[in-house]
Amino acid sequence: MFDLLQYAITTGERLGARFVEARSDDLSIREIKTEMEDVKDVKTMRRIGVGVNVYYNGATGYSFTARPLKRDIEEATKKAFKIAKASSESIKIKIDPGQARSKKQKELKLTVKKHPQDFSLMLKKDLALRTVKTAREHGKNISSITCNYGELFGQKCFANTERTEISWSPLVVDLRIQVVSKRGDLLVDGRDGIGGSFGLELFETDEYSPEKIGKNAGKWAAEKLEAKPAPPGKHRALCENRLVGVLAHESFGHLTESDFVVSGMSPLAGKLGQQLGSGHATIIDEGTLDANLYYGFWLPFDDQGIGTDRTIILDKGKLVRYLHDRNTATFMKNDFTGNARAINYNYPPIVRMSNTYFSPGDLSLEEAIEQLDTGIYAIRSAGGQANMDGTFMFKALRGYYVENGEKKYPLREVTLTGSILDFLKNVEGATRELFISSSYFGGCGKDEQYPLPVGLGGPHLLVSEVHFGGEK
Amino acid sequence: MMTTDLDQIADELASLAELGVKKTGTRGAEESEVFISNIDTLAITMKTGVVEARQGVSLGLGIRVVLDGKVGFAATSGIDEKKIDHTIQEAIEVARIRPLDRKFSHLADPVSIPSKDGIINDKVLEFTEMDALEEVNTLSKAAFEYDKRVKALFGGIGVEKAVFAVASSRGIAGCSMRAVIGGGVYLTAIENGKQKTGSESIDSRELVDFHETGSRAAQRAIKMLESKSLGKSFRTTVVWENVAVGLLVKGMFDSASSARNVQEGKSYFKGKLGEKVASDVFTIIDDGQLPEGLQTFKTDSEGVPSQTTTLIEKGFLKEYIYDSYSALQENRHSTGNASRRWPEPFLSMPEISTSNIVVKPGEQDLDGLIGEVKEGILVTDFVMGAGHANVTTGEFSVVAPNAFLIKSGKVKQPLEPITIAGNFFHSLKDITDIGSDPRITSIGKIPSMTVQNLTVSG
Repeated sequence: MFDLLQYAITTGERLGARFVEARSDDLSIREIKTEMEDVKDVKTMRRIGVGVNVYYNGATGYSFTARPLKRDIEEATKKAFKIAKASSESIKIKIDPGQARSKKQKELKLTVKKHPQDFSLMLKKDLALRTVKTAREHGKNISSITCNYGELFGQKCFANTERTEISWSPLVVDLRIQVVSKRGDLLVDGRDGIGGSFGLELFETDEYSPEKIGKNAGKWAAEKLEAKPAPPGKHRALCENRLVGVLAHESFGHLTESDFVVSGMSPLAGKLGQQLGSGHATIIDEGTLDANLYYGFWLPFDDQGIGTDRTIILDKGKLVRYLHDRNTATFMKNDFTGNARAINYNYPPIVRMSNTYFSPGDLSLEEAIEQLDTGIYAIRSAGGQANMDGTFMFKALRGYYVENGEKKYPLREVTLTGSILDFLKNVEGATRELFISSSYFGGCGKDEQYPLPVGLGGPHLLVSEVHFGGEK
Repeated sequence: MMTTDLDQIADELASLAELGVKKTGTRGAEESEVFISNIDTLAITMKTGVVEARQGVSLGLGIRVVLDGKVGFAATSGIDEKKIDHTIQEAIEVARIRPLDRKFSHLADPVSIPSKDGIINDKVLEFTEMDALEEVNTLSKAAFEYDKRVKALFGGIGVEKAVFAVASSRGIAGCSMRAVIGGGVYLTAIENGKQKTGSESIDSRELVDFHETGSRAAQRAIKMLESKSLGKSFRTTVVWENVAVGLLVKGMFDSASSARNVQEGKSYFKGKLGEKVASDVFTIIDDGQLPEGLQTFKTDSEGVPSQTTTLIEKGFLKEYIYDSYSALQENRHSTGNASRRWPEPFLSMPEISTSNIVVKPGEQDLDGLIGEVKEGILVTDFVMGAGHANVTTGEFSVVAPNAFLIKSGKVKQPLEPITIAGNFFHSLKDITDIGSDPRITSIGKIPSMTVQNLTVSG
């Protein structure tokens, strides 16, 4: 494959390109979806292709082909050069990838005990059906159970004008379940699951066995049958690990992506060094986490061949770094952070996060609930959205109304809204545990590139003045 | 590129699909279906002054096989004989581990209903990267020149030329194509440290004026600089501008009108055919044959002709939408609503989806609708969270960054982001007015509308 990538680079250089980056993907994807006890869908997909990014006079042109043959790669490179050259007439801000040391790193792999590629679809189907079985045992008034297993693995190769050559093997495994319970017209759901760069051995642990995941989802759906909607208005809140992860990523992390900063789109542009949040708010983006402790997405290199880093973005409330690709780092005269990522060979890399999380604090969960006193304990994320001005809306999957430090009753449809900058100022404390996970289903969306696997997480955060929406 | 080029691609894809079907027949499968797509994309984006250009062809095939009554699916990017062989093998292996679905009888049968592709305009086919760059500049310039408080902008122009072919052992053999152009801009305006966003986009089968897209987005953001907090939570009337309500409508009807969801008990519309589910003013059609509609194709992704299906007429629930699987459960024809996920349709199995959602327009324009409202809220531009609504129950809670207070039929105060919550399906009965301003988007052709009795807080 590197021969072909080198061919793209020499072709581009011969045309007059200042710099050429060539990538190839060979990624396999498998999905199993069950509904109740039936295997509904099984899909196997393979995506092989090559993409070429050409720099010419401050502009870039990107082209790609699903036919990794010399002829097609040459054509793609010519096309990329042609559109880069045309664009160079229109640019107002010139971009340049700067300089990096040449690097050779081949066949980098995460060591796992049971790599999904070595196991049959049958075995994965059984994982899903075991999850469903316990969900049914622990659920109540069940109207549907959907379980999804997904995996992605393969190899990515990268080469550039600096004679850097890198190949590594991404891996994501994910098992998740949704149980819907029904009473009269009321439909509620309970969900659980785990995803990240790990082997199938994770499902042999007590904490993440299919039985445990199924039990949780069944139990939580049943509990929500008795739940009330969250009272709309402002409340003190305790936000659980996965929910704060989504906040760290969606509503804050994106604003620190430096393409938004360079273009002036982010409200954080020009705010480096400013105190934006309380001393309890620290946010980090990290490419490779300790695989024994966390379940994030393992990303050793970005799609410009830069080794990923541990980047503290927000340090005790102070904005200290933006996330960069080579081009923005060069433009802003900053160090590379290894945050250039492309979802697949159809797209050029753009500035993206890897594993983004709030740093833990020193409270135990009991202490946090006690300090919450009266308010809402919001747990897990059922999705959400953030706007460039910092406003967000996120749905917690479930929650509890807490009064005088005691869980009073369960909540359903918990919607948090507000501005991330207010939110960060109102962080009063964090618990000491840290949980990070990734996913195959879902992921990050930016421009059209969705879903990119990322890791998210944090401790529990205690926050004041959180606005909860909902029907009155 | 010209129409004849698209036709040529279509012929190539069709013969490869036929070849795939023949090969599968020799491997012991009872039935097979081969789907091949070829999508040429040109995209130029501008991030303030930085330009990024992308052009290339996404190409691949997805194969469904039936083995001992079980369905298997596999897909791969690229197409050549070797890949076809390999993918057939994978699909057969998948079929082996599937349990027998007793509800499945066979793949789609050919249906002979006349149908055609939407408008294909030569000017769109011939639109080059130089043209796109020029339009991106127009868009950006229009936005920045509209007001000097516009500080940052993400804009882009894209042209997509798509061809797909489906062939099956049951005699399906069809090709569909489209050529569409679109442009959009998302920008921020800043004044006294206050930052507001505005967006505007346009998608079309003909060449359009992108100048207006740029200035409209700017206008949206600038208006919001005067925003104040609503400071309360109350039940009120909401006037939704056409673009604001589109995603919510699509998400809900994709789910509730899906015959498969009805059959599986997951649709709000289950058992309600013929019943009054919406107010008298509300008529909604799934129009797969709207010539100017962006989702118009000759056939759906199973090769069944695209059709026009009335979902709700004057408030009465008329029909559901079907793919071949759900149609066979009821011994009827598919409505041609089997769709695969763009922009790489070959990677996914068909699932039921609306094509172009058309809401029958009313008499008055947006100002007219506002004029009828004593007290309420106007929502313009996109809302956040429409994609996270509960499509089974209809419960939604969205945040509108671009909303205004209406008093005595006049737009008064721009508001800080507000939350609007309610139950979409209950709200269908609370639609009091439909605008005369339907707009073509990737969702369909939807006008503005007035809905009473929603919870608004901010």
